[in-house]
Amino acid sequence: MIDQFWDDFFRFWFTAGAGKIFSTFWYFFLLEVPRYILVDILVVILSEFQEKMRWKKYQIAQNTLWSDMPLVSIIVPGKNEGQHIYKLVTSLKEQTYKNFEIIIVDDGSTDDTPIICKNLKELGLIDVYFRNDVRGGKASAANLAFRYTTGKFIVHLDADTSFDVDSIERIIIPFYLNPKIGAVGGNVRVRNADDNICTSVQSIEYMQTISLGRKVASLLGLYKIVSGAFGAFRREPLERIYGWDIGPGLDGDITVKIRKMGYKVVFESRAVCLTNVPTTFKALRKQRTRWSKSLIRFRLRKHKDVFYPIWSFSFLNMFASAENIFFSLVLDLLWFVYLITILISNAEFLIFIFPMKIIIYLFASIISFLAALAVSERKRDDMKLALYLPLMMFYMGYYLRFIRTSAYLNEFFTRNSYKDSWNPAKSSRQAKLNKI
Amino acid sequence: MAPETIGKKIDNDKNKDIRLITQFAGIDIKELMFCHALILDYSNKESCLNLLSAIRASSVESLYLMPVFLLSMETVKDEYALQLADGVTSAIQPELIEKAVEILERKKESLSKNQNVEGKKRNLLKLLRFSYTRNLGLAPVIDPHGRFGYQYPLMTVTNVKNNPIEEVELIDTLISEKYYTARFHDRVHLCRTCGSGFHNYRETCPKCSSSNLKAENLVHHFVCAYVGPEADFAKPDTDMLTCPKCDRTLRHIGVDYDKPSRVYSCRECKNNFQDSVMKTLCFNCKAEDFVENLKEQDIVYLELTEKGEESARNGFTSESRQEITINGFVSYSTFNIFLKYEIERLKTASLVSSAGSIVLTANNNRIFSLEKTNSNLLSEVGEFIRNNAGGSDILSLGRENSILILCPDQSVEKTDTKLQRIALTIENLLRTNLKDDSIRVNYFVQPLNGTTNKESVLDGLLMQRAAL
Repeated sequence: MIDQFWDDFFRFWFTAGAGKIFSTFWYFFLLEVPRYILVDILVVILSEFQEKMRWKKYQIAQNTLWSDMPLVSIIVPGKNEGQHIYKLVTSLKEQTYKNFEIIIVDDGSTDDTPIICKNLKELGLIDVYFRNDVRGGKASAANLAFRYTTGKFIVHLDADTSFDVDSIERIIIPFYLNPKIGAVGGNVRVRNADDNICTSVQSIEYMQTISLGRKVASLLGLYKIVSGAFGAFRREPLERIYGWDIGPGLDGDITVKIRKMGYKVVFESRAVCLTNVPTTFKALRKQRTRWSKSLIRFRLRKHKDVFYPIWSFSFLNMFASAENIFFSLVLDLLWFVYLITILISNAEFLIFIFPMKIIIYLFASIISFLAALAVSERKRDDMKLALYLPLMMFYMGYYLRFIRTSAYLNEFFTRNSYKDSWNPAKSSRQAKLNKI
Repeated sequence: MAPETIGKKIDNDKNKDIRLITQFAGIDIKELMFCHALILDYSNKESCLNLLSAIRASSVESLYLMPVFLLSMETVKDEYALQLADGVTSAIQPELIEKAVEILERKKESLSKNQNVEGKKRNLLKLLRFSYTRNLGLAPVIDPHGRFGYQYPLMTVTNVKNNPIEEVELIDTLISEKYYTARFHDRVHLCRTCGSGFHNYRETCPKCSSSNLKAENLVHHFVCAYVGPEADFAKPDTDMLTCPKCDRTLRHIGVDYDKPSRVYSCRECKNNFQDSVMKTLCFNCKAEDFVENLKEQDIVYLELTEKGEESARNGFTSESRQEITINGFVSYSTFNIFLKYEIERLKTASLVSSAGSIVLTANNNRIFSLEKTNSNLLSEVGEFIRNNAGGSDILSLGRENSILILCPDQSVEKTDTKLQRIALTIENLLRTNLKDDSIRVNYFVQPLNGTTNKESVLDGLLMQRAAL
């Protein structure tokens, strides 16, 4: 029976020919292959070449950092993160670069965070600990921390992260490569990849979209999100914009604002931090819905001026936003049109089209995975994730796409990001009133 | 009978010697001890309190137990005065004073006379007897000038002025020995170094301990998420707060902004923090300490127990003094008996005798301490006196390094000459041998006749000691 199916399958596609394959999977060949496979491969090759070319310059920047020895202010805003703080400060104390201050802001925690942080402060493991009894939201906590920083560079971390021993050094070096660099994004990797299928597929996704994807975007000058989990900023631009604006999506928002000021924003793949990702698909859906809404709220609404020919206009900024909107929003909507077209026009051949799609996307996933593996600093660990590649089409192609599209439409028509409990209601109410 | 020159005698049915004192200058409290009661004019508050304190400070029982009333038209609010006095009257009412005197005298009659106690024990007995005769406990009163904010007036005037640690120890002893029970009144926090209760409580920087701090509310502007100290939002020429980030005016707390917490900035080391460290600076010894390290001391109202009453009446069962014996000396109680008989004898024989005391003092009073370790010195002095006194003289150890001498059939002049010679010789000997020029040997003489009151003689001799 199965043999008969495969005979029919191959006969169908041989008979149909390359033209049929292309016309059926035009979405893949025309849009996804160039953007996510060809560009990635090209950029991987280019970046390796560029890194070798710039090695000497990088060494000089590294030496300059060590001779300058600037104070780095590490700020960690968070709520109910007490259980992670000890692990975080321990990993920070292991850093090769040690001239930093740690400022932790407890945004109205209801657990043991105050006790833990006060103890850590008494032990000298953190420098400043502030607590607001009433939650103000992540941006306000970050701003409070920033207000009391004294360092030349500010590193924003999530409390549930830990770091490779040279991560702080690595994330600061790019500032010495180019004085126009205003912010540097760190390479966020998944710490709990082995927990279950949910975390494993996210780990592959992070490899492809962050470790590789942001490297590509950075090389093209289109890098648009300095991750809140691990990002470094020059003090001057942060002071000019008075820190973060209300979220969700505050990390993407601040990146755009820094770019608008004319600063460059780059990704440093060697500055690695590990973070825990959601362990259930339900929690993952909630997280991604929030992230996706920010595309509409911030990129499409708040920063629509990047498309206007005003004094701050920058082609790269416009292109970065356009690329983001096009490949995330437009193509997601187009994909549904494509899906419906296929279902209507090729309904009788779906039994052959769907397996073909799986094969094509598996092939694409393997190529993409190999490209990500090529730039990975944990190749041996990452290799184990190859087992989960067959799931990536379902995970990224269907699961995440449905979540994203649903969130886009929801936010576009209802603006319900203002109701998200991620922000306190008092802040959301004011943000909505003022259309922020 | 006290001299007529002291105050104004108040007529009364019981013919008690009750004096109203309105002029306090030049009063010698020794002259008051024969009065039955005193009324002090409180309009001259300072002098009145000085005299009242001096009376209660006396170690002479007839003085410190004397009924003393305050005459005041206004309500007396001074707790210190109220504790030391037996009452306040707005008019001279002899019958009431008489009644109070009678009650007190009845109580005093139940007190045994032959108490030969010294030092702390004597002070303790004084407290007990005062409480017992007044049927009152010892109440703490607020004392802004004292070391720990409270004082027990009688205790303060008696022995431990400006020594709060000793006072605290005495209170602990009173309670632990079950002379008094404690009833909670207040709790004070005392310096670990000097026992003072007066501190400057200061919020200090956890980094450099400076109290030069600036505390500010943090302001959170909801709409732009800016958070900073209130000073960031201040603009010149207006009381309104304006957000430095978005330039909006803050209008309504809880609606567009709030103040989620408070931050301290140290002006010395620039440290920023939320949890300042509470420290204290002792106003007395300048010691700095954490609040939690201060010594907690309960201030209690002391109520006399049955044991306390018993001890007030009959004294204490054992005295270290009694363990010291000097050849040729009689015990204090025996001396009392001899004195009593001598006065009785003089009544019938119309003769004159005299009594005196020799008192040893030094800056370091432990030289003459009655503890066993130092008893040898006192014994040697006693031997010397024994050998140089007359054969018929009766000698006894008095209180606090004093030696009592009863000289039958010897005039005051003769006894004075004898005691002067003895005192001078002892003083020279002690100064030479102990190499201590602060040693002084004084002597006092009193005449005895048939009308002499034995207690007055003893009190007089002992009061000379106290007056030194």
